[in-house]
Amino acid sequence: MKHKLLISVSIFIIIGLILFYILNIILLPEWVINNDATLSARGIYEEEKNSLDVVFVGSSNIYNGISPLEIWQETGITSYSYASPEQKIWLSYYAIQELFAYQNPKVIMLDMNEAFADDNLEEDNIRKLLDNMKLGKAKINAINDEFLNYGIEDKLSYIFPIIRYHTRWNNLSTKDIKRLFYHYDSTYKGYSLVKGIEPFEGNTDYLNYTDETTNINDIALKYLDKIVELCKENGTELVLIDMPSPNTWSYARHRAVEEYADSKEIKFLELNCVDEIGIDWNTDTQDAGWHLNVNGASKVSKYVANYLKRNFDLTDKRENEIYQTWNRDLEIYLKNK
Amino acid sequence: MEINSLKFIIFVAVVILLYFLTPKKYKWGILLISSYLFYWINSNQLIIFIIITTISIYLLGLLLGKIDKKLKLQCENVTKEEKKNLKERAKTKRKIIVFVALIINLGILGVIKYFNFFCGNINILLNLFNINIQIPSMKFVLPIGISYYTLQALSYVIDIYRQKIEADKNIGRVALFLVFFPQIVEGPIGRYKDLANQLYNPHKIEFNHIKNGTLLAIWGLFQKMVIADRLGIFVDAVFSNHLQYSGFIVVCAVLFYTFQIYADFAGCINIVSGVAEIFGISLAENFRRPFFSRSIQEFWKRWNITLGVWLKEYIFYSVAFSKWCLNLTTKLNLKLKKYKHLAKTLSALCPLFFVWIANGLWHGASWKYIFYGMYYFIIMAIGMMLTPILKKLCKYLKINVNSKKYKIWQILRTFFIVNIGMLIFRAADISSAFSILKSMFDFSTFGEFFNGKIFTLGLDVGEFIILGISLIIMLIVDFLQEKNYHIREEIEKRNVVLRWSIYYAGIFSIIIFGIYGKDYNPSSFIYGQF
Repeated sequence: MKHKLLISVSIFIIIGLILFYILNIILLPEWVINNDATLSARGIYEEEKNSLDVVFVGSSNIYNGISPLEIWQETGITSYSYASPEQKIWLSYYAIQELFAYQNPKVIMLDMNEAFADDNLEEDNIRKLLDNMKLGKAKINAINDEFLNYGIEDKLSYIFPIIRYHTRWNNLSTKDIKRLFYHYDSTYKGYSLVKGIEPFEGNTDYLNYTDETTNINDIALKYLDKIVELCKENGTELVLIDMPSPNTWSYARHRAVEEYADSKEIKFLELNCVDEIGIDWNTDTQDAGWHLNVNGASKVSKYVANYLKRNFDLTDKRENEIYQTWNRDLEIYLKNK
Repeated sequence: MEINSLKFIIFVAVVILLYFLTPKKYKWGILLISSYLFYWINSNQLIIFIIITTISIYLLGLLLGKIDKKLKLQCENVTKEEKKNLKERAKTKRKIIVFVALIINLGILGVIKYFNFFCGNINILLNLFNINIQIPSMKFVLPIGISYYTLQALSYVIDIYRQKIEADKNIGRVALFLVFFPQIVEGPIGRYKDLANQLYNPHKIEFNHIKNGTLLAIWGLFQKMVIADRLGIFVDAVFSNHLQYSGFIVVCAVLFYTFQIYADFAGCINIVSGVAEIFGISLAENFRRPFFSRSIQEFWKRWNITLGVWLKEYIFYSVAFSKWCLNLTTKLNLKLKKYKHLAKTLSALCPLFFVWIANGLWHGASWKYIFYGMYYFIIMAIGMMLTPILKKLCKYLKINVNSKKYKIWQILRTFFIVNIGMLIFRAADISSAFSILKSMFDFSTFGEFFNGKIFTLGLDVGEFIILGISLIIMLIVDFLQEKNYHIREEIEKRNVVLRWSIYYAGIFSIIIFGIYGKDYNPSSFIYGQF
């Protein structure tokens, strides 16, 4: 009798949990689960374990500015743009933690554009990364971070998003049900392909020498130190980069990052106002200098590819049987580019 | 910690686990510690008041017991005359003790809850007589459950005084009786003889207790989170801006508030009773389908039952059996010899007046609540006076008072009176209550029924559909209970698919349709503030 009861209670709980899991997925809003930016966060789980040589981490500048398939085409290096909108350094820290749970890249390139901005991040931009993150150590660490100062119900709402999004029952459609059978597309390896052009009409000599100095934000600095440590522990080389953006970058910032990189003996790759890249702000930006479009991304990615080839011992996998899906993805990319 | 919050659910789960893991002897200790912890989390240092209350009634109770015992011993082998003297002396002492208990406990409640109200009124009076003294108002934070546990505490001492129970020698049991954590929030107001031993005695894990308790708590959560808080969105929108609305919208808001406060209060009691049931503790019933009442008297026997019982036991009887009230009854009987019914009614109304003043004041320190009490007093008085006339009228008009139609008419009439009472209860003050009442009869705006304005007050069509369905479910449940169906037992009899579907529907409807989280402002239980 006792056994029977135990079994039936267990079955009841298991069915309940399955239903709960399904509802958690169905009720996620479309903006969390299915936009170009968040595909980067979801798509990383579609990659083979430990298959990536290089991972780019950071804000929208990354998923708009680095196209891993261009790097592949150029060098046969496997890379991924793992980024989310306005991602601050403290959030990048957890993104990198998550990364190490699935990948063991030789190089991580971290975007420094947000290291000088306000550390606070709108909830939707936090959720675009964390709601798409699988439940694991990194996610748990992130929601428990003192900086976020979350109460228990906030924390649980990241583990069970239904707590946050249950009000969406009023807008459900069949599309939300289909989501249960949806496979995330990682064809572009986290890159978000945008073809539109809106020229930048401001001053393009923004990286000219000035006496001005600026500091990396305290919070960003604290997490940057943690990232340096984390990468060291995992045997991964950290390279700081600044994605081309005349609206956010300056020489003062360049100097601050350079100083930091020197102090930690890590590399810093400057991507703003590098003649060799050949960015044309009339054709290579999608929104007047905030983000690159596909033209810009293609130029920057090729430049980065050659930098990687020169500076790191990364094998060319283009002929490798196991990586033939990358060639197929490249074909699709080139067709749509 | 709201009792419909995740925190509370986690808290309860941990306490249940600890309770069942602890050896029999110490189980009550787990309940006591967790109850004090719960109190501390909610009211911090204000916990001192419940501790003062506990210690005071414990000691005074013991003292009363001692006097009784001593009297018994002294009365052996003494003359009748001496016995009488001893009894008289003991009576005086006992009266003093009860008086001290009343002073301490009503004193705390009075100062914390009513100080500003009374002083404000005294200031107005002083002003009227051109006396330039003003009593400054003070800021008090109400410790949770003070209105509930104070009544329980008083009932304990008075019951010992009335020799209905014996003084408890175990302070732990007395403390637990006052502070038991789910009950402390909104009652039900328990009686020592029903509750204390239940709380103190160890209970075994029983699957049926866990299951039934959980089911009851889920039903309570459904009432609170799906129905009451959803209705609350609309009600708040209208009442906070009532001058902008009239007619149909206001009628809806008043009706919705009546349902809201029922779903809110009864929901809370169901959560509380459900949690208690998991421990194997059965709490007093506080609601018995009040909207099926056929008279106001009946309504108050079905609504917040434990408060009604308390007022009857400790106010009605105390006044009715007091010397002056008995004298008044005798005088009335003599003077109104020819009008027996009137004399009887008037002598019953005298204690009732105090009951309704107390009822009003218990709900809050303002004239609005006194008015609310008086509203019911007057309705009851009129009802009692007119009973013989109505009886004659029905006979004359050949109305069958036992017919279904007449019963429905009575239910509707009572429901209407209750709605007006709820309007007074919800309005910001007496004058807005009147203005809202007046605006209900603005028939020119009844076109709003069709123009969709109703969907602009925080609840869209989808929300209204959910509201409609859940209100119907609540009505059906109440109706079936009224017909003596035991819902949980009935569900138990069904096949596993249907049974489990009902359980899942209950759980998931709260998760999905519940009003909680950042998109809604979680609202606290209405009765928690009293």
